[in-house]
Amino acid sequence: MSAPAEPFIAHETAADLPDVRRARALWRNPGVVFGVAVLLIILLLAIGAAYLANVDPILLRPRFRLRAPSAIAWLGTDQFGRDVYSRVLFGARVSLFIGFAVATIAVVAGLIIGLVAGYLRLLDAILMRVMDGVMAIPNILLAIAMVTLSGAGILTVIVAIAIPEIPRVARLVRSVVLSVREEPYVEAAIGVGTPVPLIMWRHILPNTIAPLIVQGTYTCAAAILTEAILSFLGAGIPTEIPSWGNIMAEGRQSFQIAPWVILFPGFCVALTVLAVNVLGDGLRDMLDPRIARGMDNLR
Amino acid sequence: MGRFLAGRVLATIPVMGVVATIVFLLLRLAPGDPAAILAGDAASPEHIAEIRARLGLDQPILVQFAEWIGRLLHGDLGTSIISNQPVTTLIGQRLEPTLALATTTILFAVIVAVPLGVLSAWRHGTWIDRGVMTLSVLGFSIPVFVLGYLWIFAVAMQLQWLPVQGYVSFRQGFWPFLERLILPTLTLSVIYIALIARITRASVLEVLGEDYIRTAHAKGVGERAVLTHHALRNAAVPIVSVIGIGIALLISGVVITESVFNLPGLGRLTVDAVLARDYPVIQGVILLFSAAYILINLAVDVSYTIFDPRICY
Amino acid sequence: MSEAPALDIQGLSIALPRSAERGFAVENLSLQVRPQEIVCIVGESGSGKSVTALSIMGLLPRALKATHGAIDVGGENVLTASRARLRELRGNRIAMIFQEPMTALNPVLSVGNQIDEALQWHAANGARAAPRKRVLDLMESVGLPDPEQLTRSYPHQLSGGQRQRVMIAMALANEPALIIADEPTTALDVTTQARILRLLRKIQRTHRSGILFITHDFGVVAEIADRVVVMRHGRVVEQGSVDEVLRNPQNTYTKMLLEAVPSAKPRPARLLPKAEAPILTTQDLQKTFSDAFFLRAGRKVRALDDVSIDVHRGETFGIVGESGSGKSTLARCIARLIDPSGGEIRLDGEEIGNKTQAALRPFRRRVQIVFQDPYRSLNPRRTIGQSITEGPRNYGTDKGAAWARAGALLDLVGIEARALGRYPHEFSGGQRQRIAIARALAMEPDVLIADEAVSALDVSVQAQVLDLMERLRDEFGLTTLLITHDLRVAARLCDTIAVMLNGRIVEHGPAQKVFLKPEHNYTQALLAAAPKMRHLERAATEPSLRAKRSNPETNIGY
Repeated sequence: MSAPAEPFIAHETAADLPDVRRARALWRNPGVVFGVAVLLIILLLAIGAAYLANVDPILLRPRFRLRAPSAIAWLGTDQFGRDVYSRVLFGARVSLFIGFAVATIAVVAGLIIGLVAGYLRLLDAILMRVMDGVMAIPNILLAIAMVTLSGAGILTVIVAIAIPEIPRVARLVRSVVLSVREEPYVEAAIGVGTPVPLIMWRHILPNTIAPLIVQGTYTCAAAILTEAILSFLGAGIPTEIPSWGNIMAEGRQSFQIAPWVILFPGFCVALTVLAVNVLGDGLRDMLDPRIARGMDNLR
Repeated sequence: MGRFLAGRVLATIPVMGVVATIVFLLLRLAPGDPAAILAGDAASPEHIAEIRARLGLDQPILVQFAEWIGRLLHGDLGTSIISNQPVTTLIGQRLEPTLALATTTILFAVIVAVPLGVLSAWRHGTWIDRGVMTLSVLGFSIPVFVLGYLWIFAVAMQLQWLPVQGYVSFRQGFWPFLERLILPTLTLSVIYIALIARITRASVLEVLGEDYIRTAHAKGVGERAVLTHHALRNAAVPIVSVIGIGIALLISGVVITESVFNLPGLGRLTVDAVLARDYPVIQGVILLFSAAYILINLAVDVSYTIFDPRICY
Repeated sequence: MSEAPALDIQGLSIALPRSAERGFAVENLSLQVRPQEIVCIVGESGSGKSVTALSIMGLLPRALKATHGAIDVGGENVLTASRARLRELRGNRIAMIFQEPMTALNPVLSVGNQIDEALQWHAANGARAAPRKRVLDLMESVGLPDPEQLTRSYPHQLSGGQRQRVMIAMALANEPALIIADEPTTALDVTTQARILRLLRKIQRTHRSGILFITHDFGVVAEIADRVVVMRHGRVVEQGSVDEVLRNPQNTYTKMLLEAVPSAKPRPARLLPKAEAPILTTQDLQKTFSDAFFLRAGRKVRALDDVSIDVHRGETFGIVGESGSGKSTLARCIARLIDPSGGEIRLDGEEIGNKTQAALRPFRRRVQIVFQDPYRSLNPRRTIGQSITEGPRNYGTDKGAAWARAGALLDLVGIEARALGRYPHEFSGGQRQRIAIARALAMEPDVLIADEAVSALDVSVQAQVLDLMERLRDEFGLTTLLITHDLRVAARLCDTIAVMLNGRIVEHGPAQKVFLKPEHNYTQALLAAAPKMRHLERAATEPSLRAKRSNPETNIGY
């Protein structure tokens, strides 16, 4: 007979799930703090655009064409005399909205496709080939083609930007599903008769949340960039609506004499995208436990 | 080895098929009459009808698809609405600047990014690492064209070191050719460098955590040799892989960079086509770039066998 | 006359980071290894044995620091050596062999290249070009077949045993004074293990090196050690010659460990209820894995080849085999986690092998399986109560009843019922395995399959879980299918044993018969290879060697 087993004595309070502990530790990550702070500021500016702008953003004022930044126009004016500062504030709304909308669509669609592909081997091959095909087409070109054909409009632009982002999410979800499927606790659940939809929901889906959040932030960043590029090329948001890309598009002709029309909105795009990327990096560092390896062999 | 190659080549066919299908469906799923779109905004009803008949747009979809694929395989990419020239001719005229820019960018990016990434992983946690990673995130975040304009602003306008725009073929002189490519290359390569450096760093770090690195240390192998002889070859596969995948990013960037720097390449062709709603040109460029992407990635796949002896049939 | 020791550790202490459960990974450790001596460090997980090994090589992870003591190799203190000096010593005066031969070798470099590297880095400046011959000689001396050809091979083309021989060749390359072997045979099959241990004994005779051998298996200790050091929680609890420690252990922990090692002697046959129709049979069961897809013909692996077994109610049926024998595939086919390619499986007369997943629902509850890895068989995000009640609730049991029953089951397996609301990470490996057993029992199955259920556990914990299984079996008359690679575990519990090799059953019969009168030569080889507690049997063989090695040792017991 062996030694008696040590009894398990339950403590008064349950220890936290590793997920919960990691989530709480997020605030200690400088990337997360920086990203969230900057984004909050930009969000507030965007929401408050109507109050913070001192000039009507679409008002044409030929008298004040191409003025450098000064007291009357804090960020200068464009070739139609429109106030760049006000336009940039309103442009923030468009960019943030598009970033968020695209990320949401891409994540939801990618999640569904990834789950199906990961779990149903028959559909996997077909779905992945389709995803590969979409990835083979450069995303700007695909977006351009779609917008050219369907005409410019916010919804079209959102869909056109979202579709090329879906394959990346789908592949990510699929790889998570494939690896989780092999885990013994999933086999155990099958063994006790849990039906497939419940297995997906209870055992597989929770493992996708963290990677999806991280990927979602990267998708958001990419979407904001893509919108800027599309609008800059003239294949994006219709010109009546001020978006950062539109503002810059209109500054092309006069860049040599009025660089501020491109540089200020450009700075805003860069800052916003940077904040989102840094946030994504921070989230990934905290939520992915594998990151900490590889340090000990450096000697 | 032959079977592996054959397998890989065969695997690209379904993907190209999907690309062709997507491109085909794009036109036909768009709101409006395909023939009207192809004919252009200023076309008369008779012209539209003529186009419809000529391209067989009134026939059943599958027949159209078959005929379209048939034309594609013969190298017929259609005719531009604006200039009425075959798309293939237009592409041929504009190919050189794009190829030049793409080549210089890839070379520059790889030469800069891989050593940066390796250094960053080796000196993990030090200021070098943090610096490289910060620059890399910045590189991801600035829109390509903004960067381009910044360069123009700083170097061309303020310092007047390099010409602002334009392209000169190398046949007309190597230095003029090169000096006009410097700024575009610097612009376009930034995002590529950022991507490659990050993946290189992550890949090398992961490899450095593997058991065989510990074995190498246990044998008394010197630090530098551990890195170069043991780690790099194992880290190569993901790095080469991302170089291939990054081509897609590169292509997207080419379109805008040519626009900013006024290089008469395929990117400019596309942008002009967008503004003029010249769909056949857009379609042709998409097909071309997608095919290039697929072929480059095929080459990347095959190159794995050089790095990893486990991949061999 | 004793010469200078190859290794002399004095009062070594290695501190753990602040967040750890205890202060030290290793505390006040002292031991010596003489030339041509094999010293075994035995301990369970967390005992500090691996940390000790790494500290001798100067390969400790950054988080761990040696705070006290000295490690003397050939007159030099490794702990105070410079990095450059350490590099010179490694692979030269001190060499190490690791546990997992597959991951310890660089997959993209040829085997010959890697052995040669060990030579190159320590060759005296004049002899930089180490001749190929030396590599080939080394490979031959460790028993590798066809060295000329093998030199150009890559690690993935070699078997586990061959890879470990390559590692040994690398270690021997520069005639080190000390060889550290960190669980070198744990990841290998029993028969391969026996051969590697034989090789190490041969090296002991033919080379001057001292060997520090780390293991958790007392059977291996009995096979190979001259002296033993028993560690627990970072401290040495007992030290002495192998005869002294194994025959006359002083410390309670040592005694407990020794008792926990299952012996390879089968228990006397139990009286089972009269033979009726078997509850579970398989007939000519086939399973072929192929990676063919569409038009591409892939490679086929025959995992199961005409496997036929009969399991009677209340019986404990053992399936023994090494890796690749198909035993796990058999278990998963029977549990219908995978589909067989051919043959029949009958549960209580009813054919279940060809049923679709949907039609299997009523049968699922009758066959339950306990998996090998206790750290991955419970969903980390669900409380153990939720995991245990998941099954019964699938079949209509209401929540209250299911939870009440779960509480009773936890009690049965020795865990406080209050723990139902806790998460898996709060439990140890052995406790998790008991929870897994409770989960299986919650379904009230006819057949319980234990797929290497104790293989991943420490020896003492293993013994506890086996006790539990025996108790449950006796109390509930549970029919058990016990899958294992360890003959000793099978001997402990099984009434009937089937031995598998390459997908076929090569021997089949009552446990007594299979152990005492094996017919097939593979079974005989398995039995011969199993590390036995030879301290009781060794006396007759090799008396001259033993006399040469024995030193008047004081038995240091705590």
